[in-house]
Amino acid sequence: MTNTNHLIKDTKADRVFKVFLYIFIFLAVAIVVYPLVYIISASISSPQSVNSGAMWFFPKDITWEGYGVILKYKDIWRGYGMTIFYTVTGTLVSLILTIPCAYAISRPDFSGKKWFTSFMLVTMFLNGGLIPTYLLIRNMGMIDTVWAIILPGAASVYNIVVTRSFFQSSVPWEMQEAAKIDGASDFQIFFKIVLPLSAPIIAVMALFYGVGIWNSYFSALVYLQNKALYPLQMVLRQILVLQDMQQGAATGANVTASAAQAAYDKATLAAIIKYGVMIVSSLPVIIVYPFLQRFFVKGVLIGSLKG
Amino acid sequence: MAAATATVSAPKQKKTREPLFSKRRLKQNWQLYILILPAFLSFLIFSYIPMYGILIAFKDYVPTLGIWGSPWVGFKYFKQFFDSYYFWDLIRNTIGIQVYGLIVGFPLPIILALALNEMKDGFWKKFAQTVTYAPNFISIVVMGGMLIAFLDPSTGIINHALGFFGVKPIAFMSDPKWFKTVYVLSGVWQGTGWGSVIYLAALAGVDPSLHEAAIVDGASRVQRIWHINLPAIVPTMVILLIMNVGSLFSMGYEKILLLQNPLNMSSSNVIATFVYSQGLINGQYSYAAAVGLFNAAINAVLLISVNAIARRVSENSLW
Amino acid sequence: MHLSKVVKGLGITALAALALAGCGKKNDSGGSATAKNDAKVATSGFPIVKSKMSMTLMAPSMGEAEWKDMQVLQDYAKKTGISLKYNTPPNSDFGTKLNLAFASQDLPDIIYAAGTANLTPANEVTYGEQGQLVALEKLIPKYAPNLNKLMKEDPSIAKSITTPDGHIYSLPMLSRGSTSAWYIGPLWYNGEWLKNLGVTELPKTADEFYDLLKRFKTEDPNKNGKADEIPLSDVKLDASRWWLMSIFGLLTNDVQNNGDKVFYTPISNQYKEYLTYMHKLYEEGLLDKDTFSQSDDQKKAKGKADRLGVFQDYYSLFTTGRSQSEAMSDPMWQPLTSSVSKKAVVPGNPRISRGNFAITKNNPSPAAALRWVDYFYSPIGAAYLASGPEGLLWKYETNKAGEKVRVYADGINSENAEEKRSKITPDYGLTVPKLSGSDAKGEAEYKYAIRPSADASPIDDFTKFINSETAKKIDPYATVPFPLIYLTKAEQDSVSATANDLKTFVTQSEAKFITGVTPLSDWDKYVKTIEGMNVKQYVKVYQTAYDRWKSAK
Repeated sequence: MTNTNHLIKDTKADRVFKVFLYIFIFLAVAIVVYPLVYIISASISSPQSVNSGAMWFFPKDITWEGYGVILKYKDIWRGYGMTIFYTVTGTLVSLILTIPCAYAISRPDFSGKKWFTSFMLVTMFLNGGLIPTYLLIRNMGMIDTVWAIILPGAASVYNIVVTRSFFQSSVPWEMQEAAKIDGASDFQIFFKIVLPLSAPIIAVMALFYGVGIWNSYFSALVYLQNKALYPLQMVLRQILVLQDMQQGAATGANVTASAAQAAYDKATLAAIIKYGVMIVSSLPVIIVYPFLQRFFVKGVLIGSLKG
Repeated sequence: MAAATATVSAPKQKKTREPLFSKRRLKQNWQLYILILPAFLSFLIFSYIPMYGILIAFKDYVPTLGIWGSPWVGFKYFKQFFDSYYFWDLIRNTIGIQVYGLIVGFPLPIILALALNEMKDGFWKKFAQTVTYAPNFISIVVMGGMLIAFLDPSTGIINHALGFFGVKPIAFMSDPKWFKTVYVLSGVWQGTGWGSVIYLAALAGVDPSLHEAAIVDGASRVQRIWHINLPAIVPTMVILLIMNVGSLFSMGYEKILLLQNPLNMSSSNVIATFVYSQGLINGQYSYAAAVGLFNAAINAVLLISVNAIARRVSENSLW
Repeated sequence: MHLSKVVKGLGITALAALALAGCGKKNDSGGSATAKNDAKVATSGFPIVKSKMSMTLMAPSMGEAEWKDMQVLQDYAKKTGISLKYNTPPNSDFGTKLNLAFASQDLPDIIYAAGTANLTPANEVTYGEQGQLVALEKLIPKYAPNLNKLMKEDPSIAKSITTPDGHIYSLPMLSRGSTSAWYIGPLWYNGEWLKNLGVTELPKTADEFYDLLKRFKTEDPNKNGKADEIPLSDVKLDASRWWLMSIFGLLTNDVQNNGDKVFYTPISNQYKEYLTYMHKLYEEGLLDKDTFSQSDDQKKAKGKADRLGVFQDYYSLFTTGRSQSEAMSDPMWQPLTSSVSKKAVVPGNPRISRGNFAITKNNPSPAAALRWVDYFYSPIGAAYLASGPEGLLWKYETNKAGEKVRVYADGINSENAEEKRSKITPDYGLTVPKLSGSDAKGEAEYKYAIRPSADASPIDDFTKFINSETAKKIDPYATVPFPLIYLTKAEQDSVSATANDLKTFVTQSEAKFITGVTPLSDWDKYVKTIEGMNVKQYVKVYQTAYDRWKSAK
């Protein structure tokens, strides 16, 4: 530590470090970007040139037909609306379940901590399966309602544990203890001291939950009948899964000319809009992220300490 | 610890210990109980109430008779599974894919987060972050379609690139040898950026004064990362590692189903896809439930052991 | 100690679950669903019921239109007095939803167009025995006169839809007409390539077929100067397997009956010949290297790029993307003989597809539901279902011969007719319960077809081409691989595990042998493995089922 040359040596080491750092980041970015560029290019290239491998980076035989079809595809836009609704409401519900609960079990002086943690963890291993869950949802009258999408699974054990870990490591217990000695109630500590320090974890959790809901379709598949309530992924999945259905339809021992024709038309349509749909369906989430990202800026902790 | 063991073996001694919901405790912590109440109810209703469905595994489920009324068959379906030709294949594949995924997939988000954290704030950092997390938003349906297109032996871009270096085309999707790699690496591609978010959040909480002090002491950047940033995210790392190891046997089936074909089946058939196809496709509810329960049992053993290890080696554990 | 806590937590909540689960058990005690309202159901003519009646119907949707908006269904509801409420999950998810409906007892009144992929024969037996499905055989003579007539004419129908307990739980689609013998879409030759190579006589033996594929590979039949030809391609062999296996006298890769003797084909010597042959094709690049990994659109892309010589599809134009008139130069594949199969055979369609109409115990009037569907088993009713009442797609006009014929309605032509049809009727892309087509020959087969103009022929050239190819190359050789049988619950239990294991193992091994991952020298090991899966018992059960089918009247 008392090395007198440290200033010069460190700068040199730091410079090497910096070079490696940027090479690493560049590679990571390149690996991620290429397939995305491919999808974008594919979405405006003719299906023919995409499937034959002629298009590999820049668009070829540019056509806007795919997007034209998507624009007129009502189901996609209706699904879009529903997905936004599910994502916003669902994320809100999830946060209300997750953050207070995680805080409570992060408190070393909370007597119910261990019991409740076990209570949650059990659900990671044991579940009754689809049928009893379905019966429950039905008996609660939630079949074919938005609640069936939002409520079951709103709280994730995984996310609660991660959030708890954040509270334990990033919100000093000493600070809360001091407030307690000053006569603050648990509610006051949570709302006045802890929550203002929790912007990063709330942002991260909002993203975790939000993305999960955005991409999910299984509960919609199981609990919804009314197509007006279908989220985007259900619609998307139909477009992309039906691609393979053509083959399935042809394999069925009893195919009619109209079935073959229908499947053929579907496959042709899917080939045209497939890549465009991938982009359209992912875009909003990617746009929203940078707004949440600012919460990660360093110094949240100091800022609130000073305030 | 002794007290708890005693509780189980001889409940009457309970009086010697303060009950869980004693008046004093409730009074002292009631506001914290209110805070967990919503989550408690949520788990109680949506996870615990349906749990009676576990019985299906031990019964011959007849819908008209209901779960309670269906005849008991004991371990019939467990036996059927253990005797099945595919039993060992399923176990081997499940563990293989998950362990492979853990070894490759676990360290990368940490490295990426540490690297991103070292970048100067500004456009490029934001850009790098925005780009690396993007794949996470690609749904698995889309992901499956992409992989099949990219890895095609004759038209896929990967094989074009390999051909450029004189490598013969590889049938990634139909060669069982490659299945695990395709599955794991595509998962890494999709998840690394996103996985780093949680570490970045933890790194955002590192007190800058620590770094300032270290700079004054002449610590290099690598040293500071090693001694300040890394320890700051160790608790998160340990928790995530526990969760990951604990969920070795709880992999989703959707992505695998999308990539599965008869040729790679010998390495792509896992417990989860098996449960799915037996339960939802073939309508063999009891068999599927039995296989699922067996899976859950292994899962529980795993998580409990890993947690015990974690507690021993560090102060962090789940419970 | 922590485990003990977990267990304790479980104990507490299990109690809560027990208490609450009681409400999950609703009044599901329904057993024999003898209908109460059947007395009011008219046995002939419309409306079927005097006072309006409502039922729920569950069916797979092709996603073209909401069923409640389909004009044919709306018109039929007016006609019959039965209005339906529709629950139509997407086709791709229908199986999951149907299984869920059965498992949770959340049943519709009618299960429509499910097909054997979703309402499997095993399901019929299981759910029928459990009383979830209503037995129909007693109701059919009175309330389904059209179907009853067909069943009298062809006794194999009743044999094929009656479960071992003597009940009929589901009604089939009955296929008649020129292409009804197709087991699956045929294999097609690329006609242009044949022309370029000067081939006039199609191969008739396995060796000749091999030679032609070889020529496809080496003689640049697509004339682009590149060796990019793929002589034979498919997606996972799922569709062309049946035709290629037939070269060696096998009609399926499961149980098949030779006369009255049932045998399991994948361990037969002929099957080994099949694998050897296919391996040779694969090794020499005659069978597409991507066969086991490509998706359907990738195969189609190759077809459109004129790179395929022989391929399977419903019509060749679905793969090549050419027009109907061009597709008429693509000949249908001619069945082949080989050293182990001296007489050409191909698998034939039983022309009955089961599981397409079932009535559940919830149905307020099974008789009315049966009357509702029976109309579609008459030629005029089937035409009504397919193209609706007059005025939507077609109108009557009188031709020179003085006959009243159907012609396209205003604004409808052969180009947009199918698209319009997809919006007004469920009979588009689904196997619906009805009589499909007619056994009458020539123009009579197309009595209700819609013509471009009153004096035009009801058969277009393309259909004529398909029909004549079928008559030449499929009809004389078609043999049903195995009759449509049902297994009893006990039989199912004894073979269901084996069946799953066998199916997976056989398709896996097929791919491995063909690609050479497993050498053919491992054949004996393969047979041993299959024998180890209790295939004997499996064949025995199917023999019993076959005998039962055979002896049924």
